[in-house]
Amino acid sequence: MPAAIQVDRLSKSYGPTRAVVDLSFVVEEGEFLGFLGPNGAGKTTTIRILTGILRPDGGRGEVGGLDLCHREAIAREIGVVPESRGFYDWMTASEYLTFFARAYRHGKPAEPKVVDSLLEQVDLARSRHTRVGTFSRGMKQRLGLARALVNRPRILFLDEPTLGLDPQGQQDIKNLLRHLNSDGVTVFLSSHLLSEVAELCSRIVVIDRGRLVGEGTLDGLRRKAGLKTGWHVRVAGGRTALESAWPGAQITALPGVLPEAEGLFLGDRAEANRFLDDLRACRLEVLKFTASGQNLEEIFLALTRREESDVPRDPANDRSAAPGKGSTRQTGGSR
Amino acid sequence: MIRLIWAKEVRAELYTWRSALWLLLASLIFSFTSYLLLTNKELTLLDQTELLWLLGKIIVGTALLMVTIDASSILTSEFEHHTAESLFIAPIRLRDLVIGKFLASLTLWGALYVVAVPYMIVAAAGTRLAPAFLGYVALLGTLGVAAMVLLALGIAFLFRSSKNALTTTLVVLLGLTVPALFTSALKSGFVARVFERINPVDSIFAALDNVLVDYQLSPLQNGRFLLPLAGFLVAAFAFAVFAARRFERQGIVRSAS
Repeated sequence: MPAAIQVDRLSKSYGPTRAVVDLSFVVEEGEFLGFLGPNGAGKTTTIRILTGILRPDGGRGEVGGLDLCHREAIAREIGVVPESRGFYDWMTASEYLTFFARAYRHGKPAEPKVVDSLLEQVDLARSRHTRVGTFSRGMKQRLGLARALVNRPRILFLDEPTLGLDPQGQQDIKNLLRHLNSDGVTVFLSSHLLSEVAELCSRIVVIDRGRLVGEGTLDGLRRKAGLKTGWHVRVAGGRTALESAWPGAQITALPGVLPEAEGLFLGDRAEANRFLDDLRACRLEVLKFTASGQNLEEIFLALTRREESDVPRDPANDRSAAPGKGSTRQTGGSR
Repeated sequence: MIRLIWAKEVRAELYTWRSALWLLLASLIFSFTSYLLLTNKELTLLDQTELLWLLGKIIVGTALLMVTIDASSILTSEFEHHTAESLFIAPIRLRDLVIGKFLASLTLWGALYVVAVPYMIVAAAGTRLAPAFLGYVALLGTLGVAAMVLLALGIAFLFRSSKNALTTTLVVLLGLTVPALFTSALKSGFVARVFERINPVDSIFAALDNVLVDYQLSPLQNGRFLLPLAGFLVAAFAFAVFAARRFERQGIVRSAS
């Protein structure tokens, strides 16, 4: 199966500023890729090159098996929620989507169906005859997503798709993206919301100053960044039993009828497996063994090596950034 | 696709009342001019053909000014309202976009012409010049307006800002129109005469004079005026193509945002 997106040594400069430098990566068909980088890293430029808005200065790339020079052919295969979101404020939501449905030559009989179904999908059906100029930011955001889906794209490029949405709106968009991805749509998500990327994406590409600095799964990136995964361990038998099997561990005795204790082990998956074997060798009953501390922000900071103040903050992560509390995504299952 | 863009632009003009305002303003100018021509003591002494020539100049001049102003922002508004990116990620060719917008600007000229028709018919009453007057204003106006719109679109591609595009296009229009209004004494020098021969606005006014005052009704008799106008149109087209290609090479954003 050909790759959905293939980028090989892509470069783009604006005068003396090198926005993208020898960038290479591959996105497989059906993948949900997170595209991360600090402000000015070259994310938007990369998306603009891949969507045919900008011509690269060097390198080559393919989107949907088509070379980047075939802008119109690529446009038929992709949907884009761009960074700059302008709308024709004088059109109604329905007219706006009809305009783009016509641009994609859906054919007049099919247009109302396509438009109605898209408005339903993004929960704007009740506002179909309302002028876009009166829409809230969140409604415009959803309309932009509907426009990106007007041609039933195989590949979806999203540049901060949930920016400005309330939590419910964010959740709705995330659910829609998950649904689209499960239908086989390749999703290329650029976002500053690191928790969003960690929650949705199966693989992440991190760029900084136009260069690729990390690529892979969260685990892979964590390893590359030299960070260790935290593993929550809960055993039956109480604190003393766990202390004897794991000298020097940070252990919390849990209140309850049954004697149980919990601790945090730091290490990669192999080390965690060896540790589990040690616990079992000590005849401890392991009640829970889950990965935690998958804090993408830590990985992001480690990979981009910037001062914390330069890094876009994710309020959701900020609240849970206390030591020992990672993101909610768990790769290790309970045992 | 051209029709889609054209329809969008025409609807945007109507929705924002921009065109309606232009048309209202034009009809006020034409009404005021006609009133002056018919009631002002000195002006009523003019021969009727001279009145027609004056009215024709005012109609074409008004159209050139209004359509130029309109065309200067028809493209740049897409950049300023951040709608250009959504257009270019759809399978819309730049050529179709430009032609659609060009036709939308010409539509404004068409509407202005329709508004001017009753004034031209009334002013030409009893002279047998009405058909020639209507025909030549249509022909010369269309050539001049088309050239100015192409020039405005080309400049808009270069500057990508309504303010800069409008200022530059108006300076060009002014540079062409003001010498055309000079008296013949000021046009006696060699340079002035050469400029008069190649200046498209001068050609429009001279052609109207040739038709309405000197009764030279055949296009062949007006070839020497139509030729510079056609040349200006070709040059403006070439400039618009050059600017559009340059724009395509640069992409819709020129700097990292």
